[in-house]
Amino acid sequence: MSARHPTGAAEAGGSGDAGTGGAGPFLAHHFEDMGHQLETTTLGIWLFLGSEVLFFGGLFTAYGVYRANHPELFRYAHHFLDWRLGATNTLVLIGSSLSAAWAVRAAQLGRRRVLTATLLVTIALAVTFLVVKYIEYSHKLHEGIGWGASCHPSAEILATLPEHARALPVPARLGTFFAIYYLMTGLHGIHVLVGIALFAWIAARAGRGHFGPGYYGPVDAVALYWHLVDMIWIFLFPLFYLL
Amino acid sequence: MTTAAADAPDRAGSYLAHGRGARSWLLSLDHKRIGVMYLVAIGASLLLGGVFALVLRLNLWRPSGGLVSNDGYNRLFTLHGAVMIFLFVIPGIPAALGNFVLPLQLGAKDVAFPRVNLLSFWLYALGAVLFVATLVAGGIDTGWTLYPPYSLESARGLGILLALGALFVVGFSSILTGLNFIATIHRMRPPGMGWFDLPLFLWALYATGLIQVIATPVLGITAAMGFLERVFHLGLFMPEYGGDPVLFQHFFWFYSHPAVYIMILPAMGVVSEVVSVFSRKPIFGYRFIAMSSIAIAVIGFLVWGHHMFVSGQSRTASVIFSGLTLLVAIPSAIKTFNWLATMYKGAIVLATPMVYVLTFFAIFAVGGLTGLFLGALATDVPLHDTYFVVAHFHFVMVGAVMTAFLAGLHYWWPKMTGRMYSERLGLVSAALTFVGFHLTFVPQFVAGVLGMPRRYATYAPAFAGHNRLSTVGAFVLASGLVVALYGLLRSLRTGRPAPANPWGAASLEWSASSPPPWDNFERTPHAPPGPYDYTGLRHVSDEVGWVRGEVTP
Amino acid sequence: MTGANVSERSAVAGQGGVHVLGPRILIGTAAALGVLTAITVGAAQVDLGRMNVVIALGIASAKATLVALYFMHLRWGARFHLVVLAGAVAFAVLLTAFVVLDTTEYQPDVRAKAAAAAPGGAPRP
Repeated sequence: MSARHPTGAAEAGGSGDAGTGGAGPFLAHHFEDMGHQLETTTLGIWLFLGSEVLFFGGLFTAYGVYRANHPELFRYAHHFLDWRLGATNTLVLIGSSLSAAWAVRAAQLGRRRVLTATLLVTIALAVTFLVVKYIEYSHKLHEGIGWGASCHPSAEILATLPEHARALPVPARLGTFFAIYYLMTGLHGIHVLVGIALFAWIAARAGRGHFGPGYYGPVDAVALYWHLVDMIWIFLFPLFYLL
Repeated sequence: MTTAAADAPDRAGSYLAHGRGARSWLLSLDHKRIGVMYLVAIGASLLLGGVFALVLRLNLWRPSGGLVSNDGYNRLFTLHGAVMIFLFVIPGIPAALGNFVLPLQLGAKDVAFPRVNLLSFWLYALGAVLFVATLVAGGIDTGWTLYPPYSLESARGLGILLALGALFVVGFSSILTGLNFIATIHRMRPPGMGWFDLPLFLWALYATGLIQVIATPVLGITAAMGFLERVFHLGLFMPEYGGDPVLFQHFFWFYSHPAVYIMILPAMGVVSEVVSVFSRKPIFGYRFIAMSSIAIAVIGFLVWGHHMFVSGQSRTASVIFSGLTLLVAIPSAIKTFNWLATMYKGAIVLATPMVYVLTFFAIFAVGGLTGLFLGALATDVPLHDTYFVVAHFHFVMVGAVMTAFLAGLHYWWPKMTGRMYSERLGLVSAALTFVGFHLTFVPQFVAGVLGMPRRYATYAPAFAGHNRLSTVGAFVLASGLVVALYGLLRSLRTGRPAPANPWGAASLEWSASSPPPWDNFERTPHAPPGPYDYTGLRHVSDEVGWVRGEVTP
Repeated sequence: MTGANVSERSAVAGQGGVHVLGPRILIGTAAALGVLTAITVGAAQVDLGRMNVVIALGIASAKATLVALYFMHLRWGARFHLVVLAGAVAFAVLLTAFVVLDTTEYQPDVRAKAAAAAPGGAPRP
């Protein structure tokens, strides 16, 4: 029994401007009350997330097609990716989803300091993710691993492969694997960057005391977006780093 | 507040007068103004695409062509297709008419997300600019389908990048519109209006919105992949870099087939509204029509491979897709029979919207049936890439969708502008459009069956007769559109002021004044007895229109 | 909270009847996700042939489900939100399944054409 309901709009903590549940400065004219606005914006963000699933779905299809036709290529190529960095990033994103969900809870309960703290933690973890990604990308590009026709792994990086992989000749289509890798993780990375910007915006508004039990829709919406970004990585990690 | 004077249009208090100047329109969050801006932009796109069509048809007057170069011809049909499909037919009814009408039919003050709505419009405008910009960048000659490897070869120039960017942007616009409409219909219905009390136009827009949200992102990612393939040679679609061009076609058609249902479902919604009002009879089989909209949306996702029967698609997939394609005819047939049953023993009023709808029935029947020849694997193989295909899709996209667009435009014109259009000009335009349309496209069915291939600037002399008939028809069709445009524009100055409910319809938009005030309704109205319940509605006069119940002096 | 009509809605909002995630659910979900991550990494070290893909995707799906049900509070939210997510996933799976089916079915045609064009033999992977 971990669920709790706020005791009542007016009593739920000193969150300043947005304590009231019925109306308020953030009620748009075409909604009846804040509850109506929240329900509607939540549905809106879910529909947008649905479209994002299809957007990435096309890329997962491309992955599926190339893996189905060249499974040995994928089994070979994934060794170029460091699963420890991938796992680290997975845990980083899980942590950031935790802090994002906590931020929503804090907004719902009118706890401004917790809200600000959790938002900042989320941003920090998201930035960490991108830093690790940058390290991975720059290392690969430095070692000649581009995409498509520009994929020529250096001797140094080939030496780091496990023995059974080192024994095999470098596949001619290695560039295709990395094209899909850069495309999918790159698009995901762009979504992380957008998420950071959105959380920064939310944090700024939280600092001005906009959010509370009567108005936390934007926090919830950005957090939902962020959880989807996490979910996509949850699939990308095994598909590229482990299999 | 039911006196004749109160029913007269109060232009000074309407949304048209609420705020003046360019910024109050271009940055407006009012769904009605956004709808009007879309209407203007979409109308301009229709004219642009139409001009391309007329040049194409003139070139096809002679078997040896010669009006434009063969390359120029290829660029013209590419842009004709792209502009018409992405800038007219897909957004047309939802953006221009739906935006205006949807909140009014729900008794709401606006759509769920007005700022997103404005963003949708500006993304559309940006996409339009990008498409037109391809002309400047040397044009694209790949056909609107942009198939690699041809389209992504470096020899093509940079126009393809603009086109792919345009697709991405316009696609996003469409997704946001669909998202907005779904949320509005779910969450902003008035008291008393359950799902099965919705006007069928809203069921249509809802089903369309579902397709927009689910299918369009795949177009977006395809455009992005194509763009990156061209610039970075990723090796996804181009065989020379290790890619598979059939993959592009799968992605492209996964969107583009459902897209045709984005086009036709709103048109069917308009038809449901008009056929009931102008037969003075409740719609027959309301639930069947409502559910068939959802069925079309869902089944429409299962059939895209019927565009790829000769592309190298496997036989297994082709057989599956062919079988599923035949299924989609069923909900369409259900609707058609229900519409006809609505008219049966009704008091038919041959106003312009109804005349357009009657022509819709005739044309949609043929267009739909000819789709079966193309969906069936065996008959598609010889017909693929012939003029039979061209005629089929023009029958449904022009003959059905554009006709329904014109029906809806005339139907809601009084509400949007506060003016009655001239019935005489409306009927003339409908007649010219009907005759011109058939003269243009029926010969193309024949030429296609006889083997004339599509997308060729020149053709065998045996087809000269067919092509000349078609070219003449195109100009007759164009004249019909010109007359319609003239009639509508003229009404803005000299049209009779429109009452709130000139047609005696029962849905909520007709309780607001014509044109409506900025925020539509002072208080959320209660749902009417039923969207097609005409009991108690009586025609008082042309000036006052139809009112329900007693008119207090 | 599925009612869309004004009168139903106001009553719900007025009570403040909105679900708040408690600390135990939040931390518990995060912990479960961490454990599943460790399991999937461990399972990948063992060579189980084709089952590796099945297990990895199965664990990933379980993780995604936890995120959706708990962090995204689908378990307590409007049912239509679940329909949207499940529907989107279903159509994405449909796309992937059909395309992968087709591409694997026509590979023999591709190989045959390549062999006919290059008598030296089929191209390397």
